[in-house]
Amino acid sequence: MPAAVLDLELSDAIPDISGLDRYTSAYVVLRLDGIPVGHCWVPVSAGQLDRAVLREGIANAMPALSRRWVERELHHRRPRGGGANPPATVAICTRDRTADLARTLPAAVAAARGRPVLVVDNCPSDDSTRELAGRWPQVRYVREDRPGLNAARNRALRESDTAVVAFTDDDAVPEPEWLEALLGGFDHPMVAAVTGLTLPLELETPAQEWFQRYTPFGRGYFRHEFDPLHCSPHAAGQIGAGANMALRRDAIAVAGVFDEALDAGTPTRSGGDHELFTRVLAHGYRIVYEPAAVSRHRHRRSWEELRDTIYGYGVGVYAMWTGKVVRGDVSVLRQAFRWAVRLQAPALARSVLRRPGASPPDLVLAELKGCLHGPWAWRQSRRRARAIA
Amino acid sequence: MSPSGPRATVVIPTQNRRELLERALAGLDRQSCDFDLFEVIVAANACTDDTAAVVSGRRSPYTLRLVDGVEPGASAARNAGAERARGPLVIFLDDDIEPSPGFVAAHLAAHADPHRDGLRVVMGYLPAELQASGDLFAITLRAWWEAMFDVMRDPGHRFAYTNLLSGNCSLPRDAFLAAGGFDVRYRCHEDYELGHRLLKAGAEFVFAERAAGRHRDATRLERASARKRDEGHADVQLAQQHPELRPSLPLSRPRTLRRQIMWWSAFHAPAIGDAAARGAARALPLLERGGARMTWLWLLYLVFGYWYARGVADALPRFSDLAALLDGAEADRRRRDADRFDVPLDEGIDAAARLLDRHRPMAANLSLAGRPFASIPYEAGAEPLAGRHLRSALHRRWYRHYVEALVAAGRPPLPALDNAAPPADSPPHEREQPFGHPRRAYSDATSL
Repeated sequence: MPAAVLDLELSDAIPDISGLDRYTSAYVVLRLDGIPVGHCWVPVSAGQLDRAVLREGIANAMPALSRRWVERELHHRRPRGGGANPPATVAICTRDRTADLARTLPAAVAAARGRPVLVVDNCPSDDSTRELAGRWPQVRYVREDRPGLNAARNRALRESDTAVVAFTDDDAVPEPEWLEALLGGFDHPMVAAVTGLTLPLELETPAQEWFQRYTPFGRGYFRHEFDPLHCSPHAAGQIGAGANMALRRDAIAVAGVFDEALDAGTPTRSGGDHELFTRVLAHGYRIVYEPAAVSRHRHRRSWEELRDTIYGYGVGVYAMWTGKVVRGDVSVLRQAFRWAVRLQAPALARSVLRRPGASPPDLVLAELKGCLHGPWAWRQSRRRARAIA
Repeated sequence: MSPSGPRATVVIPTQNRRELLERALAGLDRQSCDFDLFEVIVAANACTDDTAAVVSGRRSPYTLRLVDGVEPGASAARNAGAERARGPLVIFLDDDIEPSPGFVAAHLAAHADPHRDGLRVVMGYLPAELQASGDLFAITLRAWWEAMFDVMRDPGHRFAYTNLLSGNCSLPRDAFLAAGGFDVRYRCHEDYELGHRLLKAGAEFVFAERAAGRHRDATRLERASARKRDEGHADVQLAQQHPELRPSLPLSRPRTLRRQIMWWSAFHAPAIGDAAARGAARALPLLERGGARMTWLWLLYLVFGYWYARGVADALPRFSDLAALLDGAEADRRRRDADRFDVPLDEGIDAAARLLDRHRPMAANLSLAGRPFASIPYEAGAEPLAGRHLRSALHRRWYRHYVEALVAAGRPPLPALDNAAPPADSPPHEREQPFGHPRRAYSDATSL
């Protein structure tokens, strides 16, 4: 039973929405002046939204909605530390997903508004991505033959010469205001990274719906600043994800580039973005989460892919933590313990007892299996990275 | 020199820090403005190195004068420098700050706003230096500095006496001298003390981000601890001299059991307390190595808290004197807070802001259709309220209450919000923002 993904602009009266006959529910993104302020799941009957539930959803979005409305009334602009938005490059790291990239690339070019766009093709098996990138004059294509998303990200940082590099995944579709909003986050010399809000592109399959309900990319509808005095570096998971982020190159040069033993394309499968955020915070920089920077992500469609993704998250987190423990940072042990006791064990219990709203057991188990495999994956990955180097 | 003389005098107090001083003077050599516009006075207090010779022998594009033989203490040096200043504006600059090329021009420009008159005090900015290396203490110190300026960067910031930092600020010379300058009896926080007197005299504080100078801060834990002790001592002086400031001082903060023990030992068993604080300071690097940053930070606050308490104990003979000092402080604060000015928002935000600009009360209630929905409380040592504070309070704190009050008054601001006020029984956490925790006050950490 697929769910429709809809946008609702709240500065106008709520229109009648119909023609949703294919769907039994809808994921409605609530916006004010185009900026998301909330979302709600609304049942669909006879192709129409249940208006009472929608109103309730709007009432629940009151905090962020009020904030944006007051900002509009005050003509609020954040005080800027350094004039206009910094110069930027949009980088897309991709690997053999030309069909998805055909949707990402035009959106990225539109959002870039004339700024350079860089496609880093990671270990491609054919020339189709190069051909696709060749269709836009402002898109530069580079090929990175060392496997791994982090190797490709580092290549993007080296290849660009702008102060900021904004990253989007090849399965995401950035909205037209995405880049401006991300760059607006760099309003202080200590801000090293800005992450944005990732919303679903489609929720056509049960796997996509589960992913959206239980591991959403979104981190809420308030701008938030993570700084080393108030945020443990290990809370990097709350900050956002590499699918929607911008980095300041000079700060990354200080904090260190991506760890090439981590993330997709290596045995560790994920975690490369969070590991970088952790280090950025540990060096005293700030990271801003800016929900006005919206990108839409196409979640994995099949249940097997979803399970595999969840497994990969488990592997990545534990691989990243293994690396830290080996380097003498024992505080991650406490973090691992907390995660196990406060979240993983209760989730498993709820799932086994089939409580309402619990995750399917195979997903919970996939994550746990991933965690167990993580340390081993880190070791394998290190060896491989050394062999390539 | 132009016939009318310089418009500003940069006063640099210094003591036996010739190399740092030279860096500061070299920064002034690179000023973008006309060198006739300012002069520089180096106020050397009790120097035993060759500072005097270096200043006398230096060739500078601006007029450079030396005031020598000042009695010890930076406050005395600043006062002596200001007394001899020929410019109508004094810019105080510390010797460990290297001013940016636009430094003097930015200070001058910030005072030249033709739309306002009255006494104005301009605070400059000391931007963080980005370093490749740096241990947790250096990183934390830098974060504290930045946090201090972050609040001032908000155009709706309500300035308080603690925002005056003598390292980089400017004000009219006559007003400074008329106020009697810095109080030389203070070991530190003499800038806060002056800030309070100036605010009481109706001064307007302004933050000028472009009046920037790079601060070489090499403070280590030992020096920071000693500084905390001085701050404790100074806060007792502040409380005695200006009782209305008491609620804003860390020494009046409510104490948990742990802090109660810490304060008790500072007064009654300083030998044990000192040993414990030194032991804790030695444990900090171990925590850092293990990556336990939040625990590290917690312990650091505890160590600083102890040395602050020790400083209070230096100034007060008995623990009971502290209670006597604080007697009536909270009642005084409550009495002042109860005197709230009513600001109706029925005519819109701009009209309400104008009302505040006219009356400048110390505390306000915000109301709509006769019903109060929010407040801006009294703050000890803060400037009176103005319209910009209202805008900031609505934006930062009361946005949801304001919109809900509009809906309740039958004036929904958006068509989609008809009847959309949240039901009274909806649990509060669903209505709160996910990251809505208020930022911790930085007063523990300011001005190390």
